[in-house]
Amino acid sequence: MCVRVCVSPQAEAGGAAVGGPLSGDRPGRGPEQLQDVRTKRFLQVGGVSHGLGGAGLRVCFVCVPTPPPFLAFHRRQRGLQPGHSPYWALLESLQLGPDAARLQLINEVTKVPLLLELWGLQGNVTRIRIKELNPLRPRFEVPDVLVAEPPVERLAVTGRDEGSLELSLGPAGHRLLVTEKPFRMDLLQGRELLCSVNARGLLFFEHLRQRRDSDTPREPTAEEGGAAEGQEETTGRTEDAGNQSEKPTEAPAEAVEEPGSWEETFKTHTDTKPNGPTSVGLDFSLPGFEHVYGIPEHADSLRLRTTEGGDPYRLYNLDVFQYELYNPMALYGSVPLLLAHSTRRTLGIFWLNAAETWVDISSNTAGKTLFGKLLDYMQGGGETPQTDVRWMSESGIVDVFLLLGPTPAAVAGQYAALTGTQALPPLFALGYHQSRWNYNDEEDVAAVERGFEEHALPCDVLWLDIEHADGKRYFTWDPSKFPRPRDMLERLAAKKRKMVSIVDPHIKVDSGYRVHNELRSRGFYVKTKDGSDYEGWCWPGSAAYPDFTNPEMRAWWASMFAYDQYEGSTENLFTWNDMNEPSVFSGPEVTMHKDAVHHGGWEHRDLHNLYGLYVQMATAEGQIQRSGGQHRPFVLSRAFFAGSQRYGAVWTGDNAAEWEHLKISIPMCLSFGLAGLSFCGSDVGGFFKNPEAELLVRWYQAGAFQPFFRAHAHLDTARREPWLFGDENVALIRAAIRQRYALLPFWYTAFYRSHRHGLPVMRPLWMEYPEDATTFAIDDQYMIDRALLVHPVTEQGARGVQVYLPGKGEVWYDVTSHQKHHAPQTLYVPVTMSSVPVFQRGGTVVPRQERVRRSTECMRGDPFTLYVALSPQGTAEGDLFLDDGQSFDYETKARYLHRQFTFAGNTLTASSADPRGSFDTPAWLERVVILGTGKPAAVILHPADGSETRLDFHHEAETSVLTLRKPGVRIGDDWAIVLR
Amino acid sequence: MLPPLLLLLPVLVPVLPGTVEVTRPRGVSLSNHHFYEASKPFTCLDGSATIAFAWVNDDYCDCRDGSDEPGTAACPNGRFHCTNAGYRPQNIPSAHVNDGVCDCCDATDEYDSGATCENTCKELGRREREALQRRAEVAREGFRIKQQLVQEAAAGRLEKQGRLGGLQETRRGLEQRVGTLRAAKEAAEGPERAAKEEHQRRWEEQRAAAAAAQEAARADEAFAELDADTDGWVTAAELRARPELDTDGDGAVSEEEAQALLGDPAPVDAAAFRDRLWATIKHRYRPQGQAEPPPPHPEPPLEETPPEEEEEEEEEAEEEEEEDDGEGPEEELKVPPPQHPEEKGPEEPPPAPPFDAATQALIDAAQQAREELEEAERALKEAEESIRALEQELAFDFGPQGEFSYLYNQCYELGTSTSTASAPSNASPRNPNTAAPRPTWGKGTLGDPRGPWRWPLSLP
Repeated sequence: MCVRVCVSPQAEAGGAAVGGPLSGDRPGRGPEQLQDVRTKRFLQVGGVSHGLGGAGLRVCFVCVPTPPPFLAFHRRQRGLQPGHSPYWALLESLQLGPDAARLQLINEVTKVPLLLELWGLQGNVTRIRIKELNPLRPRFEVPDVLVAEPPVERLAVTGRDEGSLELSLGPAGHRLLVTEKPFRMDLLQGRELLCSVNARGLLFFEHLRQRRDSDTPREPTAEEGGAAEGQEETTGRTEDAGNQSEKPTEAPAEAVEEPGSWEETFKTHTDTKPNGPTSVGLDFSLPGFEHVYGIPEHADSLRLRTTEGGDPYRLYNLDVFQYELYNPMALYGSVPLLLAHSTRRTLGIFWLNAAETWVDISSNTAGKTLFGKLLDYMQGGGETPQTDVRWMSESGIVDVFLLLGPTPAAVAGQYAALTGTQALPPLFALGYHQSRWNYNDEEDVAAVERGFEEHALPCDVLWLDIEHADGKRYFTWDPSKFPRPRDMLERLAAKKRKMVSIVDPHIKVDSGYRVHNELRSRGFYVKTKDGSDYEGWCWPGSAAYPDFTNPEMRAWWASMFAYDQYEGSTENLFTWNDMNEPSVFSGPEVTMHKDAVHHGGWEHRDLHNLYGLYVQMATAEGQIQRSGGQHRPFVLSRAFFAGSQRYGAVWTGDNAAEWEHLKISIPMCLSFGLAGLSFCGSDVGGFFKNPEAELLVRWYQAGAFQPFFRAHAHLDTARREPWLFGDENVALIRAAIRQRYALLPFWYTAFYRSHRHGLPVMRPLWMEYPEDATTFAIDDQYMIDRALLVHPVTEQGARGVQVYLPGKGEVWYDVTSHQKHHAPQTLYVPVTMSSVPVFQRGGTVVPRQERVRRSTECMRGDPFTLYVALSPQGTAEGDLFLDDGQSFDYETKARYLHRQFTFAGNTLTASSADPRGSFDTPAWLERVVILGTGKPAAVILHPADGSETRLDFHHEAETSVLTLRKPGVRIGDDWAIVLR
Repeated sequence: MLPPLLLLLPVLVPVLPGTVEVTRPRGVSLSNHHFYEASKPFTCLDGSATIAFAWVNDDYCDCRDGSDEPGTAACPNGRFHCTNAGYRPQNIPSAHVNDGVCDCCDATDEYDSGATCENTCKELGRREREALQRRAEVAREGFRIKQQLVQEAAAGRLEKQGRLGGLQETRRGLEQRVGTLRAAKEAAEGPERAAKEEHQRRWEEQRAAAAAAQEAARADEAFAELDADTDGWVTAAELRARPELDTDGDGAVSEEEAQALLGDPAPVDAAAFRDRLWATIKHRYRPQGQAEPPPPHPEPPLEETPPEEEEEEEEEAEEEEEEDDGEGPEEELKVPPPQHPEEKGPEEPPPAPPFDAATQALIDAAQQAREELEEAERALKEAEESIRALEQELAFDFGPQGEFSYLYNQCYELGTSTSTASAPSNASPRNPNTAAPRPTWGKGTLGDPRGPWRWPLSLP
């Protein structure tokens, strides 16, 4: 949910709020137009809020003026053209420590020295950090994202000559060539150039400086008298500090200071910039790469487009109203990780900066520089395609990790080693979630739950949006609608179902609200630049924002989830953090002012993109604590940053009931996955607007094959529980949800693997087929783990879909018809309303639980069916992870089973994939379905005790499907089944 | 007539000890048990396959219709039958067997899940029976009430039909009476009209005579005045002394004019003056000492408008009520104030004298006839309305036995709002939707948004 409110007398709501952005105070095509052209900003919200105080005005008109962003820094950086870099590397300053190499860079114009630090990290990662050698004040370095200080390799100087330096970076044979004048770095493996840094001379580093008098007259319009005062103050300080050795201030290059360096004003919003210009930027050239991916969140194709002549991709967590598709505009979350892929290798660039960030992508051919020509010569190639990537951030430092792969899985692992892997979700969270803004009261919840019972639709979780709380005071319940939340939760628990309630980070300013009083009295709110509590307008009216960057505040927040603090909560209640960009209806671009002040005195500007991660982190921690560290949390978050995967699920925000939105959910979740966020989904049915039955059914079919499977809808939409669409449609939806539940063992195992190794659960084809260039731009189909290929129907009235089946010499089996298809080929698959084109890859084993029940918890202990899809060589392998589905015992007590199933030589063998784990389960093997095999004469089961049992079987000659009846062995046991 | 529900009661009586327990596979209903014979291979109920009986309920699904696994969760489309002795039997989806949720009250669906389910059938049965008994009692009571209502309706109908007959009788009588009285009224009104006309004529004659006498007196008075020398004649010279008698507009009476006025013979004596000359000059003549004629219709002085203040006050009051009305009514209200009573024309006709006794008697008689007729007509109208109402009610469909007739003219309120309870009941009961306040969203109100909306943003 999420629309923003501006509460105003109706007559003015439109004109005043909307007129502004349209009046075009900033003409011209530029990034500022990104958010602003979409000013269709009216939405009626019934019951936006009550008790906001005052009198005489009707609440309900909601309008969303999205002002153009502040972007002086971006303008300044983009003003810098590729060419000769003013930076030199002072090679003689090299200090080679046991871990890092350090040397100075100097701007030949301003003479400001920078410190360059280089690390070769274990596992083929190179870290490059550039900061000021003598900063006036500390600059922000992103904390809490890296899981640990990454272990390093020993660096060595392997070559040195006039004007350059060669470092070796660990055992994989990577070398870094540092060129002195102008400064650039080239990363090579053997004779292959992988990546050049500052090859286009776009290193940009605005050192901290004192404000000077000459800055003042440039201030744009300055409607505020306050600005003048501030200037005087600053001027005073400058004089005091005049004695310090401040060479920067004398530098001629600074004589012309860009407007907007010390303050920017847009409409009613003024961004004071007490630190002045602080932005950083750097370029990377990737020879041999034509395909780049990542940097979510954008509603765009999986493969990133070049941004030449257009807007760069923007990373700035924003609560965007009705976002547009195929657009580089910023959305709710940000992960500054970009992947480049070619048939030869995969590479990642992780730009660790939490400030507003822009990414320019251009394609090029190497060879324009002398070095490139030399390279071409060395590599014997002609023109090499090349992608150039330029990162620009508003503050902080340059801290880059080059993930050198060389495979997609290796890059995923390298990124996971830095920022952590996907948290292993509790099993129920992989089931189906039913949400709506809002389920109105306890009776409504009961009626919806009854609907799932009566229509035999599995469902694990019912969700409550903001209306459940008492006046949007989170951690409370509306006393008239939800008078007995505990009873309600227990009724759900009796049916083995759960509930999620929303807890947003905006806290109603209300002296009668305990949460607010505690936050205020403990000084836990984000502050304005003047030191008072920062307040803005959000759902509850006037709201303040807890400072989640403060670890004490996070600890306090976590304690709020204790059962006696969050009254009415039980272990059956989980949490949804929405609006954590943070969303501030009254703020610039519906978010917090950049000059707001956080713990440690850091500006919001420095860490904006990190706020949402901290909210989810603190909430997940609270859920862990309330169970005494026993149970795994489930928290859904809308905003995210690198590392958010450690705390739960994310979704694609407020989409719409449109076919295009269904379609874009696939590339969006694929991008999330590439950036480590495996637990991704989109609102099934679309948040805004009302889906027609066909769209809804198709969305359920697609959603059932996406990691996070939740239907959700806006307050103003018509009810859309599945049974409201007639028998035929509810049957189709039931089939989709049942398919999801039957595959839960497979999903859960895939999540476990993701949790262990960092591979996305839902992944682009090219991750599995890195050498097949046909797959590189495909984003209407994808893989789940390594075994299933899914091509959901996302076209209205579709009669068929074109499915690309990759893999030279491989085979694929249609999971519905079991028909075998040879690859590679583009297969036309005719579809009806019940079709969901899904293919199992030959050579894999997929475990299922085919007794679909009310919820995942009801399926605990149910027997398994193995789907063994044989490769043309007659082999297959797969695995199964199993634990209690809810606790940390798998980790702390090794209570789990990880089984390996291998088919070779007409024998299916079960063995342990991980002997460290053990878990007692009554679950047994119900059935084995072998796809692509002939009819055997006999099938013999060899259990671990050495006995022999003949198994009944059934062979379908037409499809070559062999079904083995009831092996009956325990799923944790070792055994073998031999086909004779 | 007992409600049929009562007949169900014996079925729900708990199975008594001594009842023969039929052996059948788990989850099979009594009616289906003959399909499951342990001695024979089992054929799926849809005929799709035949399997060894050992495969029935062996926790593996062999039949497409799920009929081989009535007692396990193995088939996706199976049904599990629970007898629920003491309560009503139930067929639950196979997926609910051993899923940890207690579905059957006899707990038979959770025989291997570790869930601890208690047999609640007896309790449920008891509650069900109690509920049914309560319902039966309610039904009995309802039936009794209905019979009573039917009887009341029948009695009421008879009574109304009787009343209708009486009213129709009354109407006939009244119609006759109206006819008679109308004739009597017309008969009495003739003499009354004649007597009134005679009275009027006489009164007008009297007034004319009085006016003539008054005119003669004025003529004599004028003559006496014009006859300056009191010789009993008015001469031309005497007329010439009176310039107001000028006829040609030159401001003086010439000899010729005087002669013309006097006519022939001149001079004139008092009688001739009265008969002839007075009529000619009386409009110009002014008694002595009143040479200047007073303005014939003096304009009322504007200042003297005492009612204006009051009106202004009223205006103000009105303005307060309707601010938007503009200037219109204010101007309308500035009408000329009423004339002063003294300035009314002096020649108001004196009131007519009262009727003489005979005329008055005739008038009284006619008035009485009229009143009697009106009264009779009113009575007739009332009778007709009552008849119409009764006929309408009698024609209304109150159910096959008229059991709903007690509802006639009863009004009930329909309460629809739950959360905004206690909606004021001043709503019209016939139309509860019109006046009842609708539940309002977000009934709290917002302050001026420019206050809280902006202040966090403003810069000090």
